[in-house]
Amino acid sequence: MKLRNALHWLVLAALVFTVGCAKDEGPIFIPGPPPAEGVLIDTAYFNTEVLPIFTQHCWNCHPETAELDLGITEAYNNLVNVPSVNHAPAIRVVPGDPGASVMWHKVSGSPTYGLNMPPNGTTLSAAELQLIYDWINQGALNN
Amino acid sequence: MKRTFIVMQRAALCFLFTAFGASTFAQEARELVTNTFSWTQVINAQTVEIVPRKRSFGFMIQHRFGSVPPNEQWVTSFLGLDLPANIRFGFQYALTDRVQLEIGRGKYGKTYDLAVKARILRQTADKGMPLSVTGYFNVAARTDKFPAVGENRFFGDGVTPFVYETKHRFSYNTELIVARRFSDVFSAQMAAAAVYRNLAPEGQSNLTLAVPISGRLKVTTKGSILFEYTPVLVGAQVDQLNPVALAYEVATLGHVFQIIVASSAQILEQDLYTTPVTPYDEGYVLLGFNIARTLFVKPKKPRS
Repeated sequence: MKLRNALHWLVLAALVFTVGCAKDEGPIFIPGPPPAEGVLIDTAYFNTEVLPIFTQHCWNCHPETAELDLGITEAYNNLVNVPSVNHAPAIRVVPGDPGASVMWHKVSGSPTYGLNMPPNGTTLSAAELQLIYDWINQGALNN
Repeated sequence: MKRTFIVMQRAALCFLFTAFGASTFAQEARELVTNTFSWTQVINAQTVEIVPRKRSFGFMIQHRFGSVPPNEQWVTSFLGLDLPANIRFGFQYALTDRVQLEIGRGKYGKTYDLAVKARILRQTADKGMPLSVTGYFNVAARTDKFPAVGENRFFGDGVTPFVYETKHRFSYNTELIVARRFSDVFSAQMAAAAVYRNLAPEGQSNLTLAVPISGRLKVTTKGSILFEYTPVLVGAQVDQLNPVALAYEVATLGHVFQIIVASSAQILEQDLYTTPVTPYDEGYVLLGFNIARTLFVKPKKPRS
């Protein structure tokens, strides 16, 4: 009996003391220096660059019949300046502000708005994320 | 803040276990009030209850559907059942009549959680002890893949380049729960909950303090109405509404079934108290259910 009690306390102590604490915040995006005059900005295009990412990674669960249609005809209208159904009044895509855009949090792994996308264990590549980030940051144009 | 939290956490647990040991003998002779709540959780919040018998098991399924606005989407998304959902399985074991261990697995973040819950004081039928008090502590670990970190991402100091580390997966919840069964039909409880996340998103606090308030009103022999409201005192995001939930419960000795109307699809306290809830002030709500089963194990026969 004494041995069992000791085992109980050991389990409890292990729970409390073996897992360390940390006090970290992030990731925080701090833009680099603006391009020098005369240097061309690498423009992100919605129709030819961002939309194919949605088609490849999102469309299976967000087809035309879904509440959030990310098909080629409606994706833009359903994302930009549209309140999130689950997190309203937060906006799905706020032109020029990825940090305020629910979609950016969803795809970039931020825990702010719950389940991350895609939810099947895969994540977007760094290049794809950068493209989406640049597109939002450059004003989320329907270009 | 980090050191203070660790000291607070350990002091709370030392107090919890000391009080637990001292109270064990003092209450043995008195008639105890049972069934303050039917299950170990009200809806999302922990209750003072544990799996009721030593060496017995508990199993639970908690499911939350998607949030729907007050318009035709109630029909088009079939009450939110078509929307992304959250689910958690929990498995409990009563080490003693007063201590329970629990392991769970939730969908959001592929999170595993390990918890210990200990009864410190129990309400008695006479006026000796008017309240039940229970302590609770859990550790949760997200196990989903870390996302890619783009360029120009930094820690909160704005200087150190950001990289995900294993410690960022962990979060903790410590609670002291106080409850009273006022009559055969009404029970109420209040808790102090301290949630600590090793990694907080930009602009958010690692430490969150909340006070879950909940109650049960029995309306039939087996049926009850449950409510839950949790003011988040420290660490709430700007304009974050406090989580709220209502449920109708059907409970028997070994089974509990709850149908839920809630403000969040989050289940684990670490997520529930730290992420925005659906704007229920504008009519958005979501449905869900909880199912719990207690698997009683016969006590061992004393050796002759």
